[in-house]
Amino acid sequence: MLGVFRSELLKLRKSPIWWLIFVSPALSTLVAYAEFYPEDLLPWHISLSMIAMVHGLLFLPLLTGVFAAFVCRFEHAGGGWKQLLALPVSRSSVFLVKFAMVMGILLVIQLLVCAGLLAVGFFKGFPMPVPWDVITRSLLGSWIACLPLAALQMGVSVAWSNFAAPMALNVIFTLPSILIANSEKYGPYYPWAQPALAMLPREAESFGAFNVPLESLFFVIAGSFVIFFAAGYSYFLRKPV
Amino acid sequence: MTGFGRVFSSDLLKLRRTFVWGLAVLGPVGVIALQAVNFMLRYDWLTKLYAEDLWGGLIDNVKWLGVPALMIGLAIVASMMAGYEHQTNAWKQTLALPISRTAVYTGKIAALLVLLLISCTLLAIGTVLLGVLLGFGADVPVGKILSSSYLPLLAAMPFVSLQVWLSVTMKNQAVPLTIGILGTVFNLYSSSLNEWFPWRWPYLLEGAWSPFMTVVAGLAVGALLYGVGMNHFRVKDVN
Amino acid sequence: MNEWIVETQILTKRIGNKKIVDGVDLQIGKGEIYGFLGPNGAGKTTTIRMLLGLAKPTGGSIRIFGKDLKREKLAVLRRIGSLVENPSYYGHLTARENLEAVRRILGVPKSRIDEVLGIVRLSNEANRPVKGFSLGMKQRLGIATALLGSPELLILDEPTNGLDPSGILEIRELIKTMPKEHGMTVLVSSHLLSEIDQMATQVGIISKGRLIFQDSIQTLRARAQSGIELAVSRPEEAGRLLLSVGCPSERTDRGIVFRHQSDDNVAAVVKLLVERGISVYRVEEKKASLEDVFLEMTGGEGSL
Repeated sequence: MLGVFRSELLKLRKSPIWWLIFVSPALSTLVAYAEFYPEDLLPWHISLSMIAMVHGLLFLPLLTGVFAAFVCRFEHAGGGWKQLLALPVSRSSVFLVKFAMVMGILLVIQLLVCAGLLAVGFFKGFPMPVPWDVITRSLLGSWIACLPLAALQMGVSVAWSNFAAPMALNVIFTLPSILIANSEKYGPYYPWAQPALAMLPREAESFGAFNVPLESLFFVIAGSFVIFFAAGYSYFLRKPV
Repeated sequence: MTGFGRVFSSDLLKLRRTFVWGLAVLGPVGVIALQAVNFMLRYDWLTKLYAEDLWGGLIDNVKWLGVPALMIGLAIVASMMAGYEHQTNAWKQTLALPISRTAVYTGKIAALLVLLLISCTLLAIGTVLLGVLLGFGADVPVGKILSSSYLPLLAAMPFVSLQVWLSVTMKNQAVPLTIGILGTVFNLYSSSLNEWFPWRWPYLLEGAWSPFMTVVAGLAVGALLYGVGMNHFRVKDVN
Repeated sequence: MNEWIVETQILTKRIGNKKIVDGVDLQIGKGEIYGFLGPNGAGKTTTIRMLLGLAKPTGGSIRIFGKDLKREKLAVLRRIGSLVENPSYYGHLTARENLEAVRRILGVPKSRIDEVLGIVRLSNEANRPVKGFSLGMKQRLGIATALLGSPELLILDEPTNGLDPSGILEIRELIKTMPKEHGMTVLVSSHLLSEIDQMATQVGIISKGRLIFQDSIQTLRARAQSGIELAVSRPEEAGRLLLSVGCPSERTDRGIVFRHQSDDNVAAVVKLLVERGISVYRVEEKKASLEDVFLEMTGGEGSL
């Protein structure tokens, strides 16, 4: 599997996708920097909430779709999957590696967001010590929340060769999050709202679905992940090429 | 039939049985459906909030969801349309025909606009239906609904031109789509931006510029980008 | 002098620092089947792209039907049909719809669609989506599309690509009838020399961007000289022996080969060798193939 991984990495190296990794962290940092922090409220928490609204609500789900479609692009564009799948590698490892790459890129983005947040914190003189536990739970949680989205996007990206189609699907599911995340009843159950909800710091003052217990979040994430991944994975294993 | 007419007719034929028509319908239907759910769930709170102008409140809510849908929708449809050509490099066939490149490029934009106009129309109809269903009264502000459904498209012309230019000239659709997504996100957070930023324009907000000026600006920049894109398309080699 | 159907003068295309096409002077006469040959990367496809207005020349001029391509592009293109590299189509549309999409742009009558479908024998598959077509069928559809406008000049780039032997035969026969039955001139580019050999009347060979040969097929074949090969027991000695009587030869792995001689001379050579105790196992006539000539001309770059 390591071989497959390295070959995938090589394919991505020359592509214009790398600059995309910086966009959301940069924007999030800007947003956090420009935000107004009233004296007595917790600034780390406020900035995390802001970032959750920009990065977690929109960018994370949308970028998941972009990267998933991207790792499948070369095969679709270069005349199909025949060449790759005729090599002595299992379809399973191909799928898993591509999936891992998407998650890996997302993890890098989370780290960059973290770096940006820390930079803003130091610049603006947020109180020390840095609440690592809150930040880690927030960034890691929202990263985990992307697992089901990435699984679904991988599934449709291997199925459809027209790049726009998985993107359309992704957007159709992501945009409603803007409304749904605010809803107390439905927010916790909507997979595309999970990255934003998971990113919100636990004790923050907020509205609607935002005070959701951790357990239900993970239940929804795990459940949708299992379904989407199983569907996409088994489709790929069986797909006629 | 003029050159453009022939190409346009051919372009519409090429879109037969493709999902672009589905998207053109799905966009407005989705927006209306979501707003329906929104209003039904929070009926009391929202009707109290908009007590003075129920229709106005509805129209505004539809706009806030409809404009981002328009922004991303136009990028996706432009990309899909160009994608069908790029798949087998059909440009080398189409551009070897006795037709000007101008006509070919304009045909694509025209086809996209047809689809977007269908979406705007469905949005307008849907808004009316929703308002009536919610019991907002028969005093339907038709003028306001029409301007809220169609004018954002005019103000968004810079993005229509930009996305068509990018999708037609690049084989890799990842770039135009990503730019489209970024544009949509920018658009969502654009209310704090100042009037010179085109991402703000589709919302037609009152501000230093009147909505009328915003529409004019949108048409002007859209025309400019159309010219730039077409010029590039005319000169470029087809590989 | 007759006007050439296609005439280029010092046609050049430079990409970066490299001259992909370097001063090419094409001359294609009416009713010819012009075989355009060259190793991969020699500039064939780029030249064809320039003839179709798909790419802009860096230098030189193109005249087709006696008109300047740059100035009267649409009028010229109206009379050309083309199929460049892999056929382009819309997979979700049927064959008929694919042709209709082009017909609408050309403005020719609808009946033409059935006509071209008949010519390439796709009439039975007309209403199936093209994405289900075999490679050969897609190729035939591409040719049908090229014929839709009843062109006077047909430009085909690797038209037999991906076809099975019977398909190749069919296309070849089709191409050969074009000048006779439809008054067309055909420009066919290929790397399959055997194909060109069987259908071309004129040949142009391009190598590293330069046109190194342009003449009738007969002239090219004449260059392919034949020789006599002898399989002998002691080739070294045989060679020296023949040289001493004024017949230069070359070593082959089985013996020696020398230029074609009259029957009497061949008999004399054999007699000489046998008299000197060298056994002669085989006497064979070897015709140099077009391939050998081609490889020799293009400096053995080879085509794969």
